[in-house]
Amino acid sequence: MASPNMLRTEALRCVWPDGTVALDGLDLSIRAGEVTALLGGNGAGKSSLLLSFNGILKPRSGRVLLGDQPLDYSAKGLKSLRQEVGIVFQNPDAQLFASSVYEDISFGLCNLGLPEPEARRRIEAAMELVGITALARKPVHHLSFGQKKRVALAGVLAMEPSVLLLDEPTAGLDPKGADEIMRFIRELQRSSGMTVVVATHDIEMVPLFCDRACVIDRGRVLFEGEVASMFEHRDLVRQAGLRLPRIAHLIEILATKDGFDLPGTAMTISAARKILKSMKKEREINGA
Amino acid sequence: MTLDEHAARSRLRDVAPGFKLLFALPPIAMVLWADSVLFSLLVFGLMSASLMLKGGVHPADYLRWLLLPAGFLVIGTAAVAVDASASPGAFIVSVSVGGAHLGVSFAGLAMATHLCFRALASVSCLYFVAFTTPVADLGRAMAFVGLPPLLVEMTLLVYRFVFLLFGTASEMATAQRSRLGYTGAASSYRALSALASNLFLFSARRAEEVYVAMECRGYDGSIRVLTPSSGARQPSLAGLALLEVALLSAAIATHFGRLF
Repeated sequence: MASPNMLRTEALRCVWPDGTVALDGLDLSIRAGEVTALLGGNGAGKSSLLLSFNGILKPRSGRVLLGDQPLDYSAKGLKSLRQEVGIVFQNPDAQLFASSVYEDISFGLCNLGLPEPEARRRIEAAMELVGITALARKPVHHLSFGQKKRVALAGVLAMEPSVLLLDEPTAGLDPKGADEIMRFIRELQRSSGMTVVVATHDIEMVPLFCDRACVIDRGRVLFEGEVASMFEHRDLVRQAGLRLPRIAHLIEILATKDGFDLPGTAMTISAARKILKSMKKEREINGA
Repeated sequence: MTLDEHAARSRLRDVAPGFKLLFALPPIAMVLWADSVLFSLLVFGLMSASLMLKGGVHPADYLRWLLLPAGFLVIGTAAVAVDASASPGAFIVSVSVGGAHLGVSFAGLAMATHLCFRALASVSCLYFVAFTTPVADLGRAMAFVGLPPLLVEMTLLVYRFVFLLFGTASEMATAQRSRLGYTGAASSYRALSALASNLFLFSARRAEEVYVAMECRGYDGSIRVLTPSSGARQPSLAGLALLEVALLSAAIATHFGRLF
């Protein structure tokens, strides 16, 4: 990849048909081969941004670039864009339309015009990857919510996009299911080098599974940077109607209110453990 | 269990839909034409036995499903059996209403019996298809015999979303009931009208969402999908044809009165 930026927006302004300004001069870069968390409260513009990355929502002004090329909104351009950029929606019932799992996964591949043996190979591989091979012939309405989410994911993965957009992938899943799906996405990204954008307000999973974070509020970018630096910009995070992960909040209170002199910050359990262990060691050395 | 679930679990599910339709649909025409109680019973027995022995449908389940059309059947055939006449002579039993007589004649009874058995046999044929063939397979069969793709696509989309609509409607109705909807006649009407208008809005929004999601996967106006290939052993076409010929011979024999 020539550019480290896979997707870029420049002063992107999008307005819904009813006049609601969804994105209001948004500048953002999504780096290739990383997992970027798109954070924001309800109605901040996360879903609109994902839709504009996929060419569904056309900009009123400004532009979206894939690699170095501005998006081409012609029918042909959109076809190649949607092959490159896949999107998994929050509600699987809005995405799955076919009457059986296998057929639904095949839909995107048929639209790509792949020869049948290749399409079948990819369907099998995608089902294997997300662990739904046993469900292949089931009608979609007989599946549980978690299974539907996996099928929706497989339908997009089968198209082998280089950018995967996920709208609230953990919403509505139990803690185990949410953890599994994020772990799966992280592994997939590592093994395939895929670029992943996750729109979410599940802030706890961000430091665990994401490289970068972007906080948006009312259609604008408030913060963009490494996940680790979110701690320093916590006021911006809070301004967007979000909060820090619980562990980070605890560390913040200990440092600011209780006068602890902590060697660094932490947002995850393992990082906090490291801090506490190093403090224990220091005390032992000083005490001895 | 719904018919849909029965079909998904059927042991005959992997048999290509064409075979199943070829097995179960021609007998309907034969039953209607032959108009013989004996032949109807033969078809009914054949379909029921295939469903329970080959398809793995539990007899109790099957009986429960048969009771559903039985209700209509009783009402419908009763209307055929009962006749009105000026004189009571033609009837086996009759009551006089005003100047006329209402009663059951021998001819009416025979007609009702024939009708009843014909209907039962036809229903068993349709049940064979319904209990063994998922709707998606039926859609494929429709496309195979050359029905327009638009019709097939619409059928399958309606099938998929009818379940969503039912699910949403029942959730809404539960929410209304928990807030004391449907407690009296007036509140029932009000709650039902609110439910219907909400469902309409929901459907419109859902249609929009699905359209966007389909566009994201490259939808260009026609739905193309691949169907899972099953490696299941298929019945022999010759055997099936032989069976149909045998049934047809029986139908002809019974129709022209050689047997009954």
